[in-house]
Amino acid sequence: MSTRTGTGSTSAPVRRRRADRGAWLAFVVLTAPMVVGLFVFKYVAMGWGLLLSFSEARGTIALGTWVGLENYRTLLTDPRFRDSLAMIVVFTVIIVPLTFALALGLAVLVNRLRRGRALFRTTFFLPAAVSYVVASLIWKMSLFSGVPSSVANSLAGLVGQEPIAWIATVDPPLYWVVLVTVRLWLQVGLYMILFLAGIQEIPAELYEAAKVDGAASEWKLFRHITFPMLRNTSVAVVLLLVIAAFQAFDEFYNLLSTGLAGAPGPDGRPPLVYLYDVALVQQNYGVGSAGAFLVTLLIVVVTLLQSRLVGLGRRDA
Amino acid sequence: MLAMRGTTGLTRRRFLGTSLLFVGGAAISACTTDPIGSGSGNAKVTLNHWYHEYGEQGTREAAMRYAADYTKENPDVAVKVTWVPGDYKTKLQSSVLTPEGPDVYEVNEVTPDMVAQQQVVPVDDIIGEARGELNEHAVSPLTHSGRTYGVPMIIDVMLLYYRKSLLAAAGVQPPTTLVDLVSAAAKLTSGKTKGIFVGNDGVAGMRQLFPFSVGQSALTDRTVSYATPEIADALTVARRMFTDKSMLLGYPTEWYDPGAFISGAAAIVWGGLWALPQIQRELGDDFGLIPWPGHGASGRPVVILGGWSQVVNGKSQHIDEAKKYVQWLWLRNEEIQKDWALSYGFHVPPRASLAASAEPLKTGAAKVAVDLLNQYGIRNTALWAPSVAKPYEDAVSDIIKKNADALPTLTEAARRSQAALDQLPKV
Repeated sequence: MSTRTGTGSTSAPVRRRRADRGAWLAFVVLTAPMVVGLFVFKYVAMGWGLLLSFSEARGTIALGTWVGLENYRTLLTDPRFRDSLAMIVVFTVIIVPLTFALALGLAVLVNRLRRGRALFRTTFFLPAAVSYVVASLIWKMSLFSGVPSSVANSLAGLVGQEPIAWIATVDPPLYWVVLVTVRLWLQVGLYMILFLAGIQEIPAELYEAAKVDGAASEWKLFRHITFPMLRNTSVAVVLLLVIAAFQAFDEFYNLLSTGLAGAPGPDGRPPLVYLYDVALVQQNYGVGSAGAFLVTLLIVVVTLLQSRLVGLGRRDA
Repeated sequence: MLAMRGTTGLTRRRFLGTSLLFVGGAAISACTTDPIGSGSGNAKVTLNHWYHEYGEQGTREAAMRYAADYTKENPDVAVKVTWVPGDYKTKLQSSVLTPEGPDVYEVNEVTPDMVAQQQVVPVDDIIGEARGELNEHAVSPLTHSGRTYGVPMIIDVMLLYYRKSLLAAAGVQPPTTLVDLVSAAAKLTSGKTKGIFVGNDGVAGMRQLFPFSVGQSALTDRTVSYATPEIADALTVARRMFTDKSMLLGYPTEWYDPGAFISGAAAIVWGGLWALPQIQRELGDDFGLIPWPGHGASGRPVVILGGWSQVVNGKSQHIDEAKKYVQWLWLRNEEIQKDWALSYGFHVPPRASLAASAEPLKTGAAKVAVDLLNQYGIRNTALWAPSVAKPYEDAVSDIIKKNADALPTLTEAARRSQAALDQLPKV
């Protein structure tokens, strides 16, 4: 632009500035609602929550009675809260690899289809559009209800098994079957789509070259080409899965609570359900906020550790 | 190019149209949960009145009719009734944190925190002489240091329903001790019928009654007193119903719904008097009512009292008007009190004179329930706040469902309940 001469040299920058101003205005107008909303409903709330976590706030969200780290100490010495943290770690360790393997497997299979790829892709993805609450109620009342006519118990009946109270049986912990299957069904489709997108980015020449070099079996192609080429996708998927697992609330609350009769009992109670009870039922907003920040801290630490391990953000050599 | 511009324009317009429709739809659906006014254009004061969603048909219309009647008599005061579906307590508790909360609302009990945070005001002045005839157990969860913070609207009675025909077929008498109940539940379990239903998790309906069933209580003033060998023993005996697989678990409806009893999925159920009309309609007289049996030498049968009470928000701008409205509704207007307690579900009016004169409560199963209530009715005091109860509830779950050693589990829980109790403000 600066090398331009002649008549255009005076008018072009003016027009440009005008255009810039227009674009700037449009940008501000279009993003303002989101930015303002984000600020008011997220950042102010988060800041207030942080302050609350250092104050005694029972039945009020007013600040003023500072207690330092007392709320954090209360929670960390509470065996039930520590149980809930241990519980969510176990849940994460189970659900993340399971979802990862299933989503990747489905993506590879769907990608190999010659016909009906769109149909299967849509079919597997559809559950991702179902709400966690709705799915939990279907799992609770129809698939895994304790009556002999539920789907799971009908199947069990075929092999001569007595009807089982799936959700109420905590020793052995059969409720885990319900918790794990509902989340798998809900989230596998979404991650399958992510893997599928990753697979379709892999250049076909790589496979051709490998075949020329004698790598004939599908397994070898998967192991030496598909999987390594999906590294970035895999890292992102694991990251998202871990965060989603730590934030688990909906299906736990809806599967394990007893309606008007009360919040879930001590078995299968993740930290967010525990804190929901502390803040919104017991009305202890100080301790509840402290717990929210402890869970956040846990997620941040795990995510950082994980990126360190897999080298997220490191440039590919 | 032209065609392309055409399609883009169309898509945008359609997008805008769809968005507007969406926003409009959201706004309309938001309106349906909006308060319904009693419609007085020239009222000087508008009271916001919150109800939880009563399950019985006709209750919502009745609540609105009462509000409209009040405005007719008092043209200066309009009443906006908000019918809150779903998780009423959570919505209420976040609302009363702000100055914009309802002026009048209903609760099960008044916790010390609610008093300390001015979410309620004393209403002794409007109760006045009626205090003497209000059921003692309906008032105790609303009372702190001699001051009463609410007016009871209805008493709910919770007890055991049993199916006569199923007991007769199994050769079982209605149980009178906990040990009897456990063995009856086992005998009644066969095929698609389970012996007993107390909640889908196996504890929810019955956990609060064990201290009373051995003649003790969970709290004695400001001391936690549930870690005793007698209560531990009662829990250990009750656990057998869970381990024997004679409990109905994971049924599609909860214990407070009579579905499991009517369908015959369970022969004995813990339930509420509110379900009596429906049970009578479906089962005729093929059912009976008994208290939860006592246990041990000093044990006594238990009927639990529940129910709703009306309170006035201490942060309201119109405390006096709200008090007058509550007094008119739940202390002066006998027609309304009878209508509310008896026309929809089945509840007991908290005022003794009214309960005694209510025709539907004078005969049949309803009379049995009222007699049992008068003889065995009991409930926890206002200090049994959620933070105090939580360790106990978790302990009961561990004992019943995971075979935890009862007394040490209760002792550890009692230590944490006591800490929570000590933190409650003294009001």
